[in-house]
This record gives sequence, C-alpha cells and structure tokens, in this order.
Amino acid sequence: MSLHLRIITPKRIVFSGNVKSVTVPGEKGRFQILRNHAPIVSNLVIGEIKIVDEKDNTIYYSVNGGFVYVFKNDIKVISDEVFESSEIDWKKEELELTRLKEEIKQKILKDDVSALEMLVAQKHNLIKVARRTQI
Amino acid sequence: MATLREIRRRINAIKSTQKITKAMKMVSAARLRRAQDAILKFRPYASEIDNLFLELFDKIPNYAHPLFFKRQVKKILLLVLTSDRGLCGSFNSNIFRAIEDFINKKLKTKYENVKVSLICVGKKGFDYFNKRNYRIDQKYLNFYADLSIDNVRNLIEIIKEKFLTGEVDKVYAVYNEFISVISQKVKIEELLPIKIVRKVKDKKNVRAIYEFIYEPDKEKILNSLVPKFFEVKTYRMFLESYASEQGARMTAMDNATENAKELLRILSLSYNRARQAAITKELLEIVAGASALKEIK
Repeated sequence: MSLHLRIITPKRIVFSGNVKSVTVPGEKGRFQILRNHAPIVSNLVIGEIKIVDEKDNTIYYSVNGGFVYVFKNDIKVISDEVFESSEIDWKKEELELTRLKEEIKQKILKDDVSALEMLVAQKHNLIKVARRTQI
Repeated sequence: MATLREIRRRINAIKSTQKITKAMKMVSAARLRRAQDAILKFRPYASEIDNLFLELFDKIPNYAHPLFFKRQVKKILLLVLTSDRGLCGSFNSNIFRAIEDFINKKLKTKYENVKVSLICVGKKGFDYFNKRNYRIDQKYLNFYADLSIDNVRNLIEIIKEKFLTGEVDKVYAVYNEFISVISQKVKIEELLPIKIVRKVKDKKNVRAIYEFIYEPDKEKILNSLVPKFFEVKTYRMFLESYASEQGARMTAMDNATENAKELLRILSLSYNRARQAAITKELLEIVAGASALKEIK
C-alpha cells in the first residue's frame, strides 16, 4: 500500500498524490512521515513541508500553521495557506518584509504589534522556502 | 385606439429593456458559476476541519472553550447578509421580513429587555434597517467584490472579539441558503456560543478503536481547531448567500425577459392591427371617392 498525501487549503487542493516521505513542521518539532506511520494528529506551525515523491523528486512548500492527520498511510495536511516554493515571489515578499519592519518600529511603543510580528515570521518563512528552488 | 407611432415607441422601449434584462441574466449566470465553483473548492477543506473537530471533540468529554460559554442574554448581535444591488426578486425582502419577525416575535418575548444590534453586510440591508432606526454596529458595503477567505476573516475576527469581550452574549446569522439555482431559503442560524450536538457513538467508526498520537495533546489541538471550525461555518454562509443572490437575480431577470417577450407579442399584434386598419381606411376612402366621381359622370 502506497503512502498518499493531500494538502488541502480553503482555496484549492494544493497537492494530491502518492509520496515516499513527507516532513512537516509539527508544534513539537519537525518530523518525517514514512509508510506505515502510526496514526497521529498534530498541530503545525509556520514552516516548511518537504515532500519526496515516488520519482524521488523533492518538492518544498511553505505552510502557515494548520494540522496534519495521518491514518493508515493516508496523510492530510489541512492549512490556511500553502505555497509551492517556485510560485513564491520572494522579491515582493522581501519588500513587504522591510515595510512591515518599518511599521513595527513606529508602532512598538504604543500599539500591540504581535499580529505584525506574526506576519514578519510568515514572510521570513516564505522567503526561506522560496530560496530552496530559486536563486 | 393608440396611434401607430405610439405603439412603435413602446415596442422599441420594451426591446431595449429586454436587452438589458437579458444581459443582466448572462452576467448573473457567469457569476453564479464562479460562486458555485468557490463553494465546491472550499468543500474539502470545510469537511476536513469539521470531521477533525468532531472527532477530537468526541474524545474529550468535558471540553470547554470561551466560544462555547453560555451567558445571560442581554445583548444580541445579528449578522445580516443581503445584496448590494437590487433586481433580484425577493432575495432581500425575505431577509427583512424574517429578521423583523425574529426580533419582534421571538427574541423580545424570550429575553426581556434585550438589546439587538446588527452587522449589515450589503447595501440593501443597511438602507432598510437604517431607515427604520435599528441599531447598526457595523456596515460593510461592496463586501462581495472580494469574497476570499482572507477578506472575510477580518469580519469573522470582529464578531469573535465582540463575543469574547462580552460586548454581545449571542450571535445569530441571517442569510439565504443556496438550495438550487431557482430556489433560496432564508436561514437563521445561531453562530455563538457554538452549540454542538454530540454524535451518538458509532461502533462502525474504525478510527475510534485506533490509538492516535496527539501532538502536543488533544486539548491544545482542539483549542486551535475551534476558531477554524467557527471560521469555516461563517465563511460558508457568505459563499452561500452570494451564490443565492446570483441565482435569484438570474431567475428574476429571466422572468423579466420572458415578460418582455409576451408584451412584445401583444404589442406587435395590436401594431399590425392598427396598421391594417389604417390601410383599410385609406382604401375605403379611395374607393368611396372613385365611386362618387362615377356617379357625377
């Protein structure tokens, strides 16, 4: 029985197919899922999903939190935002990042910036994942 | 009898109206297709969140979350989904009627001295309730132009915040449920506090037998699932309402086009009759004139 993976977001199903292994950013640390993995449900944090498909190609995705559900060689990644490494426009993200940092500097004394800091972490992650295949 | 010119003018007017209604129908049909597509694409995500939530919820018997808390009801918030534009049959007026009934007959008798405020999404709803002096907390106009989940999420956060800070004690949503292209149904749904009917234990459920690993643990996963569950539930209403609106408009415009066709048929009939009458009259005059001349000879 092969290992099947689906990555599901509100807008579309980003990935659906058989894979050799998947590495996901769990809340308690990154972990790899291979065939016959024990049933597990885990929270995901901002980070990177690494897939090795049946032809030994490695694909990277950025993920913005969510959940992973593994049951009987069927993996579901459920997340709000998942982007494939090559489709990220990292130049745009870097511009956004500098703008956000500027905004935090101005607001840090009077406002709550935790939401903005969250965005910064997301942008950092996007750029990191984009660099896997670009440049 | 109306003169020929008058009838011709009316025929032309109806023809141009018909062109407009036909075009509006086409536009709505295209938008409806897009709206249905969005619902379809959202469905896998929604059902995964729902399933995961219910599965975990079943495994923690005494689970509590701030979004579940029942309080004494003093303030009620209604989320009202209407359209920005008219010409969509009874789409909006059904909502108005349902809300007025709901507030006056149900809420006011069930809870004494309850204050009701509205969040209006859509211009039609805002205009209607504003004119009638309802308390409107927030209005969103032209909201449906961007129905992506990122856009709707902001509104969902606001509602959640209002409930969590105790500003309101109960939240209902009133919207048109999409049943089919030609039929919509007004639905009043309790959004907050979240009410869940626990499933009866299903013995066939194989997943229940297996021991799952939970990271970090069941409760923490459920804690992050609850807001998502709420988000899914609310977002779905927006998608449904938008699809319903397009369906309603499409049907209304289709009816208008048909009516125009019928009117044109009747009018062109009387136009032809009037024309024939005029010709007959002229002929009669000529013949009468000719025979009068004959008699003189």
